[in-house]
Amino acid sequence: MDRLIYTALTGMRARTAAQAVTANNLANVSTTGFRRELSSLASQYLNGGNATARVQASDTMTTSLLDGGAIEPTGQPLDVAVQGAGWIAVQAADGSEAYTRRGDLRVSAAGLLETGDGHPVLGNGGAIAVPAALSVAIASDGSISIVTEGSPTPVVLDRIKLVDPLPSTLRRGDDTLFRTPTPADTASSVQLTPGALERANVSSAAELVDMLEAARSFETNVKLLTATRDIDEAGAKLMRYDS
Amino acid sequence: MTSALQIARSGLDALDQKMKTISNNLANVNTTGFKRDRANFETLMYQTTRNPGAPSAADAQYATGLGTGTGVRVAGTERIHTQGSLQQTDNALDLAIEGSGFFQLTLADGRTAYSRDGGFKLNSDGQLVTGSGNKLVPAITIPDGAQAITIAADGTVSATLQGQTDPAQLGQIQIARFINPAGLQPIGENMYAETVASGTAQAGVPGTNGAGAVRQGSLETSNVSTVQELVDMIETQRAYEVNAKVINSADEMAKYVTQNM
Repeated sequence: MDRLIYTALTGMRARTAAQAVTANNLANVSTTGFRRELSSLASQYLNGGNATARVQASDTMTTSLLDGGAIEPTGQPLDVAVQGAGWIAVQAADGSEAYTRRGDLRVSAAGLLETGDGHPVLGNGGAIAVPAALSVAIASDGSISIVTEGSPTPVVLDRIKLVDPLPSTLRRGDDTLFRTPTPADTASSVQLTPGALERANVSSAAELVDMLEAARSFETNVKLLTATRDIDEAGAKLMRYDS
Repeated sequence: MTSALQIARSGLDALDQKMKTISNNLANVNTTGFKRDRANFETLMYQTTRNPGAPSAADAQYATGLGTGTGVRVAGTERIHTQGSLQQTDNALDLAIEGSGFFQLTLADGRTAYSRDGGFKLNSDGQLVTGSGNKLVPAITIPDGAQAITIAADGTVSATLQGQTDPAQLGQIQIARFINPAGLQPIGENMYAETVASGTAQAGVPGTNGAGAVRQGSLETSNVSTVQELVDMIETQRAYEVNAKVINSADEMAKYVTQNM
């Protein structure tokens, strides 16, 4: 009967991991452009012996869900939200090209256009330098234009690289940015909504239901453990001489 | 693996920080020249236990990986430098900047500070000072008995001096601009100090080279929208509640184990 304990243990471990994924989704419910994670399990058949009942829960797997979040108008000229499918290209800390849905852009101390979490946004030729200007505007195709005192008509500086790679080729890195095996091509179909931000695609209600389900399932597995103990104790009692 | 408890705690910490930002904005809704802050949230690093594409058997790969997020933090607060609305006061020494830029002030220790608060007064020497006594740079002195103080859009200060009929020019106010005003460091009393992030101040004539124009007889109100802040506050509170629920649930799970095993 000892094997039942280990089967129940895999269930408890899987539920603890699922709870951590749910907690992370809920912790990021206010993070601009955050993509929620889905945790899933696979059954692992352990062959050998006569016990076909030994199907354990294998390690939890996580997948990023790429459905869109609600778009919230902010009125800030440097806030953009990606409409529908598509990604904003940014430079990751290691210099590689990565993709994000985060559109709370700003001008960094070095004069570069960057996202709210500090990654420089890529244009047609690398990072985009924004000089001091009267006003900066981002058009729906990603073009950045400035108005300076010397030239009252807007001057287009660069165009934000917007891509739309196949979702199955995208992988999320540890730095929360998404990457493709080879840099994706610019997609002219991707449109931005200026003056708005995309919220996280996390639904608090759905996550709370997942959380309750994981908690109840965890308790069921604990029940299995205690049942195993009871059975073992009953067996041990039968074997005793003095009973 | 970071536990659900710790992840939810990071959520509560970040939302608590956001609530402080919102309450500071609301507390300053009537502060002249105040600029609202916005808390920027950032997802913490993921912990990858298994990469997608790792071999699961000799000729098969895992289609998905196991990467668990570790929560959230406030990456920083961003000051939103949009124009506040101008309020007519008809006080000759109340100035507002229409456009970008800051008034330059001297602090008691000799450093220069920058402010959008243009509620100037005269000190005992007749110099233009802020409510807390910091002198305007370049210094402008209004002689005793001067009448009809006029400050033009380009910052020229003129007044009719005692015993004269034509107005005399007393000086010109300059406006300092920064490449990145969001990088200025707030030092209290509506003032900011220059930092590496803001770039160096570029002082100039008001209304030229991108510097805002000076409007006499008005004050700039804060750019805080009460409705926006209240909506943000409700959202923050709800997000806080769901994170507290996670803590509750994770605790229940742990309690169930200790009680039953």
